[in-house]
Amino acid sequence: MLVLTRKVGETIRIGDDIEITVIGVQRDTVRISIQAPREIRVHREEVYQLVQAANAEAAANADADLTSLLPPARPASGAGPS
Amino acid sequence: MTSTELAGVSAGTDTLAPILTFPVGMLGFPNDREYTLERTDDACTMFRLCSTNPGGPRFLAVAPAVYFADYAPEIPDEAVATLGLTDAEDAVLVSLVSVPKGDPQSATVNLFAPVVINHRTRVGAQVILGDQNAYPLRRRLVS
Repeated sequence: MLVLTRKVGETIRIGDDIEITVIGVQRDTVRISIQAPREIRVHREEVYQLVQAANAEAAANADADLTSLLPPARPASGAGPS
Repeated sequence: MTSTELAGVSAGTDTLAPILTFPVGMLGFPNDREYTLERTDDACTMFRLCSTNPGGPRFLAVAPAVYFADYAPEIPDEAVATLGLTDAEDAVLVSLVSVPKGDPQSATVNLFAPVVINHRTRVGAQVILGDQNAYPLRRRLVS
């Protein structure tokens, strides 16, 4: 693993098109700006872990039969029953 | 997002289901970039989203507005750009469903990270919404 030290305002470049700049430090909190191509997704680690786990869970049982959970035949749009 | 828009989605038996391109893979499945979306019921409320890769992931999904009438999240600008959305009318939302084995009644829907599809260009992306309190990761499909 590469470990670098940077001051506020300084940047790290990853490859040709990813820039990570430290824009502020207050006590134990660091503000970072990230510029990356659109196809590179940037997430907070916690959020990534949550969604990735939910996706894996959803993919684990895609053949479940949910017929019993289907809503009544009338779709939600339009006037509902009175 | 309405069932009228989703009516264009092919039935499960339709072998010519158009392919959806995901410029960025679903989280945890970075190598699967092409999916088909097939409806599993005539009312167009439930779908199966399947990677075209053999052995790739498959998901059950629902049209969230059918189950949660108040669900109308704003799509973040970044996702709008990824999807090339120029008209809100072109966006179709589906939400992935997690079903505990043997207990369909406890199925939950991911309202936090819906799959948004530009149904004009057939480009899709899983979009993470900002607010997990407003849009829960696991909401019971039926209460």
